[in-house]
Amino acid sequence: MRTIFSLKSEVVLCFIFFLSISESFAQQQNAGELHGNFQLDAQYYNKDSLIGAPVVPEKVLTNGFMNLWYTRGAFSAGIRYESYLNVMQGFDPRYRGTGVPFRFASYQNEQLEATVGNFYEQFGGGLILRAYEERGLGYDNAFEGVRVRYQPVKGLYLKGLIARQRTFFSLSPGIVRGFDGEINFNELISSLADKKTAVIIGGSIVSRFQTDQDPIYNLPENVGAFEGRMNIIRGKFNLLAEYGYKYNDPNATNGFIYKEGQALSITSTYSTKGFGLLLAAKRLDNFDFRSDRTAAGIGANINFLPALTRQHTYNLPATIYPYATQPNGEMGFQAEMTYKIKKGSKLGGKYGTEVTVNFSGTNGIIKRSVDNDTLGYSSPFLKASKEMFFRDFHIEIHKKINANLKVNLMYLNWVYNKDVVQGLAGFGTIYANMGVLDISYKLAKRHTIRLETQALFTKQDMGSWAMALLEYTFSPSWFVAVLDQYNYGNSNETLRIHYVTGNTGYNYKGNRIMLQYGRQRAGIFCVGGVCRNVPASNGLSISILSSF
Amino acid sequence: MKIKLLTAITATIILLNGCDKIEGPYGNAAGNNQNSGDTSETILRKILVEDFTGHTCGNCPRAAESLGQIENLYGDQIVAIAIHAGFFAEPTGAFFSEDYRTSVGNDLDQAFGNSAAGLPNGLINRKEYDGQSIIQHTDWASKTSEWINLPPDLVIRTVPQYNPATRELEISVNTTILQNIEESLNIVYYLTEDSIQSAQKDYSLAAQYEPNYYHRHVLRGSMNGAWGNVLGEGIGYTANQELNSNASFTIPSTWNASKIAVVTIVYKTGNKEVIQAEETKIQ
Repeated sequence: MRTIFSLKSEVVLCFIFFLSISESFAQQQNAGELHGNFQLDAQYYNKDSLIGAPVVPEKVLTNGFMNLWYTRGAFSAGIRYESYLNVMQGFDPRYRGTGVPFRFASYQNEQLEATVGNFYEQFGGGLILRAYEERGLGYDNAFEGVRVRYQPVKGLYLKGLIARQRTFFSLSPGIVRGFDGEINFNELISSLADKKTAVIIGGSIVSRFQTDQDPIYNLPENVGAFEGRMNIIRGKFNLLAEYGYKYNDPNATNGFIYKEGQALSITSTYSTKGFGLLLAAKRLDNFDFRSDRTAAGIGANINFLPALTRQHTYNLPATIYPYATQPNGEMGFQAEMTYKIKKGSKLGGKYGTEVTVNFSGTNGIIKRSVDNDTLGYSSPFLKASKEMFFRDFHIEIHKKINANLKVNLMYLNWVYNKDVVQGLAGFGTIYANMGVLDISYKLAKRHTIRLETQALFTKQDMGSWAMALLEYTFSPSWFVAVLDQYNYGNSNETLRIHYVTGNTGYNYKGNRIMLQYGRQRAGIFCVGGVCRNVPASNGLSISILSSF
Repeated sequence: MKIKLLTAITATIILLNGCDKIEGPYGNAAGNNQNSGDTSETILRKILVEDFTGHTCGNCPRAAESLGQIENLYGDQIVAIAIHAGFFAEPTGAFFSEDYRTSVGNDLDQAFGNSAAGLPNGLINRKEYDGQSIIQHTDWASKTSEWINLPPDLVIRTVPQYNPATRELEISVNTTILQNIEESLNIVYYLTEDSIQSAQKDYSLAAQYEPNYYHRHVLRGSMNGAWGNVLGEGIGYTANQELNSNASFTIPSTWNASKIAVVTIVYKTGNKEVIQAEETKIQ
């Protein structure tokens, strides 16, 4: 079996190739360009029995990588080296050791682009195919194989790929074949070029091949899925609809049922100066699609199903009860209105006031038992079940008071079904109210101080939290911050803990160095029937980033 | 020209993309358990399935069920060990006060990284498949099926002698090589206890846990450490060579001797891949 570890000779060849390119072109005017970036994160772990931080035998754990991208005219090539010695806590421990999991070469001319090796790709909104990397989460489902993008005429875009997917330091067993076509009518038909209404339609098919060696079940070796989409843009109005269908795909996530899967996503937006409106709806039914039917947890995902809710950036709403998509069945909606109260009005003041109101919610779908339980269930398409998974209602007001003072105020009301979202049992549904006050004050030119206070009020689960952050920035080079999260409402008094961290960072040109010292919370997370305890930690961490 | 091109593209797409619609039957015909009803000694390859689990892991009973299915299918060719390790195996609260963790199990868990990767999961003959030795329970049957018809490299015959009065256990083990092996092998004698009753978290139950769950094949310890000893001289083995070894152990009074088994495994010293296993009850 081929693994990335056995590819060292290829990597050496790749380097020799790079060197020979740069040497042979060194005498010429256009030697191409080499760019890249480097990151190293390291943490020293302290013992901290109060928060339940486990003893780390290595004391220090590090994650590091470097990207090297070479381009010369129509040709580009690159590699990424990754090192996990050993992998930091909170990341999937299947990242073990070091290797070169990403390497590619690509050639592009006017009509055609061909890539061999590793690549990321997305068909439409990603409903049936999207490969991407999210380093902070340790997520990387890059393809390894061949991809061709072809534009036979203006307005017609074709893409085809055949590849396997990265899972940590190896490749997932399934072979993914995909084709995507998109027509932009206003580009294709010259008489439509100046029309006010723009129409783009697209569609794709993806199929996974994985051998069936299961002695118990008769499993489909080829699992097909297709997707169709339409985007209509008229002036300030934009409508995007995407529908996906997946044939029988018994897998670990759906409990090996032979039911088909369906997905529908509709998003419409209207935006004009000072006003914006977004309305979106989504339905998923048995739509977990992976290049390994036995995969559980994160990894080997072919498609991408983002949560239909706002991605928060403030600490408490972003980290304590964030919603995660339930690919086995959910139905959700989101509505958002942004409005800017005009300058000079009573509420708008000198600079105007921005107000955002957002409401999103997701419920389960109705699952009715069927005679043949191998088929799983039947589900009426347009009905949601009464089981609430998540609600997020929030109002955010952003106001610049004067040239030096800015204020952001936010209120949130949440319903969070912890059992469903985290794959646990016995925790029930959590009802929480949250408030955020973020004040930023410019002390002098390039000197800014920012105070952020947040509170989360709930009677369930771990109870209420308070959080405060004080940050001082001396732009563009330095910042220093102190953050305290306090679980003051925990019903267990010994767990009313302050999680205090201090940060400092320095930027210079393409380099950034950050230091952090403090405590991080623990949590149990379950994805696809596998549960992992992300332990609490206490220690000193350093992060070095550099790009060139 | 463009029509031809589009036709060619369409044809390519159809060729590249396939889909198998299974209309049933969804299950395969009865398994190929060749050993059922056979009383004479048939030497078969046996496969070690290690189930990493914990009593507060609410999805872990699903893995135990998968293991049960494989045992039903392949019978005595499956040698099972349940290794309780990691966060979910820690004793906690009044219900989950038992501690089934062992230093042997912890060493194995540390070496293969199972509990850190999220439970349940397991190892099939400790082999690396595509660079991964950790296998999800939904894949155990497939991975096991790859081994089931391979001719055995050697046969292990374990003869236990247990003295109920002193609780002393002695085993003598005969390993007969069946085909030439060029690399070094290790032999380990694990001890398991079957059907221990205590609580188990189970997310499929309305109550979220089963107070009287039967924990099967629980790893209790080893007669010669987590990694055992080198078999013979460890410089390769020739067909028909016989190697004899023995070990002794005192069974703690808290263990139910009638449910104790010796699980002997032989694995390649280099890559830790198990090539033969044998389970023998001590009583």
